[in-house]
Amino acid sequence: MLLKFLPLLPEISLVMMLITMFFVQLFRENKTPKTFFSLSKYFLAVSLLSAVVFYNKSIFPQFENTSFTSLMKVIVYLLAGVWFFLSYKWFLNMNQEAFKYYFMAGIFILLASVGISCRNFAWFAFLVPGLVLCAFLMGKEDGGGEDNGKDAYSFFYAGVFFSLLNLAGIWLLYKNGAGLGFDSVQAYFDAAVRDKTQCFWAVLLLLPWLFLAGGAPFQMPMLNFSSKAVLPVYGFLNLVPQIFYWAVVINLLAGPLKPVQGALMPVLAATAYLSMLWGALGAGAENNLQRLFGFNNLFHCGVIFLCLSFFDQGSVSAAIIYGIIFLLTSLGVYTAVLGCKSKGEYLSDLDALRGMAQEKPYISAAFLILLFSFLGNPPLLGFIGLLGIVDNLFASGNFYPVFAVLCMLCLLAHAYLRIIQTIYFAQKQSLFDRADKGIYISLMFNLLLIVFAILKPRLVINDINLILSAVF
Amino acid sequence: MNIPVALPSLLIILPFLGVLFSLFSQEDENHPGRNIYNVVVFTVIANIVLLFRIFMVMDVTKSSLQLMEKFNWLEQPDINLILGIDIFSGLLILAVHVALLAGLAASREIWYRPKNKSLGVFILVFLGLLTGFLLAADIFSFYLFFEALLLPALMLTGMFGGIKKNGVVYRFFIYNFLGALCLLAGTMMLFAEQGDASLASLHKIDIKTLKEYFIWGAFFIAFLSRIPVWPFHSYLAAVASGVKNPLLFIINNLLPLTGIYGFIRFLPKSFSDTMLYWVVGLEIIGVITMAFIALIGFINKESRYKLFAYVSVCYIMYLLSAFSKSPMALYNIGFSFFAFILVTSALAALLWKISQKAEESDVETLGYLNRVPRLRFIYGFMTFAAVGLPFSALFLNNFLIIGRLFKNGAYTGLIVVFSLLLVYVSLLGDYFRLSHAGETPQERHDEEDLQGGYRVLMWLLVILLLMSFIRPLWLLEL
Amino acid sequence: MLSVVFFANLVGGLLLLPRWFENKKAMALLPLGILAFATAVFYQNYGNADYFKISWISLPKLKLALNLSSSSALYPLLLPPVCFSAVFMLNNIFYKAEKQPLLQNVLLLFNLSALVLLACATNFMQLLLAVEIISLCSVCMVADAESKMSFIGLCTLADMALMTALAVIFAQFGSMNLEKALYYAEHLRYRGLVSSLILFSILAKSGLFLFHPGLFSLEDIRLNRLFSLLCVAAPWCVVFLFIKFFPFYAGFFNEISILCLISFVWGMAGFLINDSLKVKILYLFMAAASLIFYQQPLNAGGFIIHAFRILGVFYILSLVLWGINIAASNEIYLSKMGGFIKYIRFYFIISLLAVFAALQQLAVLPFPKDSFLYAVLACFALGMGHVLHQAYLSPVRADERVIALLKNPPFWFCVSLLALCGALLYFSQPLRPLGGVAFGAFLLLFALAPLRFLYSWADVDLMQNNRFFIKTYEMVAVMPLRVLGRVLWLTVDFIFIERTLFSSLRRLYGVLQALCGFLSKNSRIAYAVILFLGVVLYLYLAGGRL
Repeated sequence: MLLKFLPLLPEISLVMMLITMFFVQLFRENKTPKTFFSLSKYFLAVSLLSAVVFYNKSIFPQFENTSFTSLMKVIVYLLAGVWFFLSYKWFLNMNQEAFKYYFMAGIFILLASVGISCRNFAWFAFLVPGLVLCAFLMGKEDGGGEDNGKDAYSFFYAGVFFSLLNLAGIWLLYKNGAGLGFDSVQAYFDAAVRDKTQCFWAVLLLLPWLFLAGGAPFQMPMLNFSSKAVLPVYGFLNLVPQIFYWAVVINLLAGPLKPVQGALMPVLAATAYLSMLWGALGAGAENNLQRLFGFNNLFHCGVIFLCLSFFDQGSVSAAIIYGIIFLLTSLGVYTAVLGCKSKGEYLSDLDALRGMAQEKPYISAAFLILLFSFLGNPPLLGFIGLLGIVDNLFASGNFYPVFAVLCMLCLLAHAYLRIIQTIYFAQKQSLFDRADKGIYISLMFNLLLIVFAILKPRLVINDINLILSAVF
Repeated sequence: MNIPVALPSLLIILPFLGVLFSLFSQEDENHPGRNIYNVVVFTVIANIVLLFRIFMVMDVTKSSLQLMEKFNWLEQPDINLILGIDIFSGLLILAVHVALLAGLAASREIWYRPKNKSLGVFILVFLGLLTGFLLAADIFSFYLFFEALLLPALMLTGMFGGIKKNGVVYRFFIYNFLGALCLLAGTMMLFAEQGDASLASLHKIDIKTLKEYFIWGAFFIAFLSRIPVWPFHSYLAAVASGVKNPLLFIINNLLPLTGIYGFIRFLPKSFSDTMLYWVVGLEIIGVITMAFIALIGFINKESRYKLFAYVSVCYIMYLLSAFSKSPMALYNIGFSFFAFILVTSALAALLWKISQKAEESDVETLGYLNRVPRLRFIYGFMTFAAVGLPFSALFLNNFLIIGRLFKNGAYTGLIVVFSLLLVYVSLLGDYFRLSHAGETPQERHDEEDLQGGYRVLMWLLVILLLMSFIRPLWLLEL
Repeated sequence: MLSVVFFANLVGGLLLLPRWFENKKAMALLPLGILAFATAVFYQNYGNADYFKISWISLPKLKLALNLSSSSALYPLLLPPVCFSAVFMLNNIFYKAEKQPLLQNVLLLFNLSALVLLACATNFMQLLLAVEIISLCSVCMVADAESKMSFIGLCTLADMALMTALAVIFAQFGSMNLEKALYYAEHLRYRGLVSSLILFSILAKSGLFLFHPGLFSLEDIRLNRLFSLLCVAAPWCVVFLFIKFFPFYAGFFNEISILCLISFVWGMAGFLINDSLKVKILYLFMAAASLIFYQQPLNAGGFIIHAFRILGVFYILSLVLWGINIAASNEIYLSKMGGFIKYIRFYFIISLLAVFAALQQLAVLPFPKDSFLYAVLACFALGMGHVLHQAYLSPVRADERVIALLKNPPFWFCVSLLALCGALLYFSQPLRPLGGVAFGAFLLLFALAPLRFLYSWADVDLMQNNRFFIKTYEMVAVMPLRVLGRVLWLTVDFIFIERTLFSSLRRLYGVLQALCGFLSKNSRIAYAVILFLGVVLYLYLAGGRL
């Protein structure tokens, strides 16, 4: 009987992780950030392995594991694991308590893991507010100052708003007899005469995920909130759950909202274009690194949404591949940001990085490679992502979106150039602290992965394409 | 002949091996920068030797690409990287390598400073990528190397160029990036249209439908963005006049080569009526730009700008010649390019040397060459070779190119000749300003004159240029 | 065996070139030795034909060879430059002021090789190659910086014109064969353009009126080098081109004749008015050049002899003036001479003899009309009479130092002048009575000096201004280019591209960024508005499509 629940092992492991952390916090006297990291490391490893092993095993119809969902979970767990490793370094250096961070992050990952596989809107009713609350609690610093509190509450209120919208959409569906399961909702949309009201419900279901993913024009609360939070929280919120949000959007569009895809495509397209434009322009004007990369994320999310707005097998594959490459590159960039310290303080201002290349050549080189990868410059990994998007769009006869992407990429290039110019071309103004060995190790693996993937990209991409075919 | 080793790809790989050596090379405390400098020089020389080996195994009577290599890179989309070499690209690769050697020799003192590893790394990366570009045999490969060149070019210009205005570097990058993105768009549109990205598939496309307009337009803009044709000339001019390092001046003046080369490879053997219409339009813009740049170079007092004007005018002349599509055109352009690259790189290197030495001796550059007869001879030789005197392949091949331009139209030819005349006069005026004007005393200053390896290299360049004039096909006869 | 002559000069020159900076006169004898060898070969094989070609380019679509085949017609063409080269090599060796005699002689060797190449040229490349080498040698002969710059500008212009013309011909016929081009000259598409360009390239170095500023830029160079340039380099190149390309500009011969007429008058006028001996020599050259090009080169051999004679006249008369300059310790201005007859009697007699030889030679020239011949003789007689009177018979105005050091020119100079007189007289046999009459007129004019009033014009700047045409050309041709360049740079590059285009793009980008910044403000009201509007927008978009 217990064996029946083995497919739930990833989630169970995460629950166990949370319980253990709680008890450790409660009862253990000598607890350091490394303690919580070590705990999370092992439990995440179990989750990851079990996700791989039981990749296509489901127990409830409301909770389905497919190769697609398993892939998404694996990516989430991997990213979480790496980021937890880097985060604990930060907490050690800053000599701060890490329990709240790891605990909230653990809840977040659990909710994400559930969200990827669940096929019932009832879960979603709790999922969205749960995620918002987790993020809020994670990011709001006790005694973190007026600014941080204000942004956190703004984000919270916005989150509540979208949770209510989500709830409204679910309630309307339920009230009209659609049920809460994905299949029943899909059947409902299929059978019912489609009018504007139904499209509105569909939008209400989709909007919270656009908000959480940071799509324009809803990105500001999250962006302002996360950029004011400490680095580990900022990195976590911008990195780890991203693929989860995209996976949910894909699941929704491929499942219950499939019959009304036509109505939702313009929404995604509008999000995409607004995100790209806002992201490109915003990044160019920012001096704060966290906000700058926040806008950078906005741009790349926009590209992903643009691809998703065409929603066929090719475009979804291209979007996910692009997303994975983007996340890998972002991980590298955030790692590099973690390596920028001066006089014991982590640097958050662009001007503080002036002439860093003269003292920190490897971190600077990492910035250079990763930023050019963001630009889609061959032969770096980002080029493969961009190539997939462009190829797919052209193959399906969509030329103007490609031109829009490329034009806005040019605008975004200005932001990257400012960073490179500051790091490489400007005169050094301050001394930089020695970065942790872990930063270099992490960067090395990141860049090696990029190089390996460049040499034989088909090994990676073909497998991902096979997995993604499960979506359709 | 069975060649066990893939020689063309080895030409690309060697510089990257050099990069690895550079990264792991230790800095000598007593002679900072020397190790990295030596690594770069040896890598360039090794590549030249390899290139000669390639020339030996090539069949010089064939005009098509040889020693073809194919690497399957991606399956979805189906992208293969195809490399190949012919006489034309071989000559250009050789010229680029020798030009870089000249720049390296001139800028030796700049290298001998601590923490110059990145200079070596980026130079080698640039060399490898430019070689790859010249070896590319299909459109994807072209695009790959075309865009990849941006990173080292940007870093070299920004870090070591000495350009004070950030806007110049930004503009340099954005223009080139825009061009590269156009090439990506054109390539993928072609791929979507034809299903493959070979040059032959491009030649099947006329300019009739909107899509075809986009494809050809994208390719044209991509290559034009590298060539100093109006309105893209201003950023190149700003960089050329701002960059002080001779090696970087040479590198920046090699970038237009990628545009011209792209046109030469991409244009079909014969033009349809619609395409001819656009080509004529491009020719008109080209000649107007030529005259424009020639005039500005004529009034500008800076030597570097005059040299830039000369380089730009010649590049546009080669571009116009590339449109003529006659069977001999490639040969003419190839041999002319070979000499042209050598001459301009030598001039850039020597100008730097002159300004540096004059600064060290605390004298003006006006009449400086009176003190240094060897330098004066070499500089004079290069200047006279540049203006088309019978010291290099430029003499014969430029004549043939101009003849071909006159065949297209007398007005085109006249404007080309007028522009050439202006830049020739500018260069000559500069030479005489350096060698005769002013009150500099006539006594020799041997310690400032060309010495050692640099002197040998310059003499080697002189010999190469004379050989290219006396026996233009000597390379093929090895 | 012209190929032997060519290679002997070329190889010899190349071997001696590394020692170019030597100022030992003895070293300068080596090129003379090489020339002697070449001359011996030349004379030994005078008139013999042979076949000699070096394959240069042998591509399937382009075959070029350097032709050094001799024919009986080529020897007379090359005889004058060979003779002159020998003479000027001696000049360079014995002239004390020449500091680089070896280099100058080596340049003369190269120049002669190039003339051989030019004479034997049967294709455009060989022709251009020869012309460029001659131009290069000419430029290297000029030491003064300003002169060099102007002269090289002239050479560049002329050579580019020639290259352009040949390129147009090549474009049409697809062949570089000279004979073919000449044969089909009438069927050339841009015949007017080609003819104009060829004529321009010839006249630019000819020294004729309107084209003389380039040569007049040489007024500051040493006289030995000036003669090398005027008698060996530029004119022979131009004469050979004049002969070779006659079919192209045959239709312009009336215009050329008028130009020659004006040049002659201007030359003689300048010769009379100008105070500087060097400038007088240049004006004399102008007059001589006009006499050369006045003849149609229908018979190449005859034309060469005609040119040889005229240049011989020019050279001997210039030598007379040079001798005065040497005697007067390099004093250039005639207004600072006078009364020299008391001090350099021997040289005075040689001068008279030289004038006699010159006038005899002139009397032999085949002018179309006798009146023209009389006029030419009269002008020369008048000119030389005027100049020599000022030097020898006019009141002494020379510096004390000049007077103190005034003596006959060196032995070698007088001997060479006498030898030239002898040669000219020999080649003008039988002596013409007209020559004697002209000499009589010269003596009369020398004694009377009817144009004495011109001596006072030495102080009039306007009359002595030789740079008028140069400045005019600069104002008419160069200045507009500079202005145009400046205007284009300012309007197109600066105002249009920088200030308008890029500045606008920058501002637009700035505005958009500011808008973004405004929308990204950390304000709850802003959030609420944007979120609300966003939701409404998306609901609208979704509702629009079913």
